[in-house]
Amino acid sequence: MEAETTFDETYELLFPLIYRFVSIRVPKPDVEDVAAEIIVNVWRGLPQMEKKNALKSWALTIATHRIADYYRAHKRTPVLMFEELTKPLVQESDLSETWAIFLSVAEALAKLTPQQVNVIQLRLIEGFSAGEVAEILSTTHQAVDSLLYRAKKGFRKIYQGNPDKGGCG
Amino acid sequence: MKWFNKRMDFTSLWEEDGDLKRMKAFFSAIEADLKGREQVKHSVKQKALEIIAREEEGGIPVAGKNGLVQRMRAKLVVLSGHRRWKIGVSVIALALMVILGQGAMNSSWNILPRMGSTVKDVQMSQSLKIAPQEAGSIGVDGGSPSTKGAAVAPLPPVQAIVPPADAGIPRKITHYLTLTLEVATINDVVGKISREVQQQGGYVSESQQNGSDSHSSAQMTVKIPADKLNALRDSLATWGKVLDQHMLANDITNQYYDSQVRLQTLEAEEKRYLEILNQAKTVDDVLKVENALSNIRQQIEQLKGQLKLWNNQVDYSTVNLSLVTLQSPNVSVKNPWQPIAWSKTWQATQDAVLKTISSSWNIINYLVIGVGYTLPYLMTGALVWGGYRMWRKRNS
Repeated sequence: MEAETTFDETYELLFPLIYRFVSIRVPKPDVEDVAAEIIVNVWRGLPQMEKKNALKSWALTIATHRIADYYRAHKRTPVLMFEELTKPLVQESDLSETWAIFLSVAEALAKLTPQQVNVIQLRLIEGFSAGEVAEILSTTHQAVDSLLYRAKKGFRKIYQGNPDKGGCG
Repeated sequence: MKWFNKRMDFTSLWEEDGDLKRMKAFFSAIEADLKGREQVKHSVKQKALEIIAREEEGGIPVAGKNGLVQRMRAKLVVLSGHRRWKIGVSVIALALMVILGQGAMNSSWNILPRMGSTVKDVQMSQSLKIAPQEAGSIGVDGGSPSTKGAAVAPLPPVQAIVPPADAGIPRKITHYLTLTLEVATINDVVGKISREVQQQGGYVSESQQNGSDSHSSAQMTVKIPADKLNALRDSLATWGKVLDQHMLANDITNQYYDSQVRLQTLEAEEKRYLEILNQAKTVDDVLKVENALSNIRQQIEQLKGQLKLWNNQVDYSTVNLSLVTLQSPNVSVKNPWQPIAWSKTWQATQDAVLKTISSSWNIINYLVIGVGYTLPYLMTGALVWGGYRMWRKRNS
């Protein structure tokens, strides 16, 4: 009973984060399976976990490895799945502008490298520190900083090239 | 690239041009999309629970409390399964090889006649060497019958065949013995040989030692009364291992008595010349007779010297001795196809350990010496580098 409760708690805590991470990296039909496997792996490995206060970053490390395994097993190159995302639910008045921003950002992100998108999501959106991101992506602190800097430059260049879709021109 | 050294916050860089805001809006749209999908959350949970249930049924550990024990047990199960027979066969094969090797080394079987101790090989070569002498010999010297010690040492060679002499004429025979002896310490044995030779009434005519104590050797030439030669040879066999020996008996009876007859003839001739000299009346005659007499006396002296030498050689046999130290078993393997005896394995192991220690010590020594050799260059390099650093600091 205790194990069930622990699993529920873990699941409630990690599901949004894991699903957000997986949904834009794995083809839609496999997202649920991959996310379920990641959560099982995290829960199974909890007793051996060293840094108990770094559960989220540790879970994302497992997620990164599991996604890499997925693409290796399918013999495919990792790609980002922005086209498969559902259109955002927005108010009628904001429809035009929000929709344009969504599309242009998705298009710009799709043109960046997967590693740059990883850094943008983990560092800017999820709020992990550079050290935590380096650990999740199995790289160095300097590499994370460099990726974020290059991602900014790349994003600005691509976004400025799409003035019709909300770019600043 | 100075921004990199200053370690600026790149998240604030993203705030420029409103990009961070756009990015957050984009991901929050995805988040909002997820919130509306409770059925997805439920479905993923169901799948996760199904995976866990499947794994529990399959016996794979779920919780990690006893993970190590269970993993070890799983490994043992795998080992005891399809690999068990492989380990068993390997152990049996190794044991067989060891038993086979030990049996062959101890010469208890004849399956590998070439393998075995070096002692046996020496015996074989010695018996081959003396075979022709035994074939034609009439009398063998009084060597003791084979004991355990005699079995290790080579059999003494038989003295040369002596033809039966006339009753009134004693045979004149010179004996030469060449012998190689392996001993533990050269100095002790050289001393023992010298004392023994003196006790027997002989003398050491030449002695030479060279090398360090562990790899030293010595050559000796001794003269021993002919009748004591066999006693000396027996003594030598007890002080070390006889590796090689060669006996040469030279019969000089004919030459000796020929020279003796010639000497008697010359002496008679000298006597007659002396008588003629007494009868000589002119100076010319005296000079002629004295000239002939001088020539005869010279020949007489030569023959006397030769006979004296032969007498000495007949009375005193010559023994040429080569002494070598006992070689370390792991370096004395001359034939790689003939391994060292099992009995020497422990000694060889001790030598190997000592060699490793001394080699390691030598490496450290060489390293220190190498540092000594390169020290001037290192110091020069350090000075140049320090100077360069100072010059660069001043310029900057």
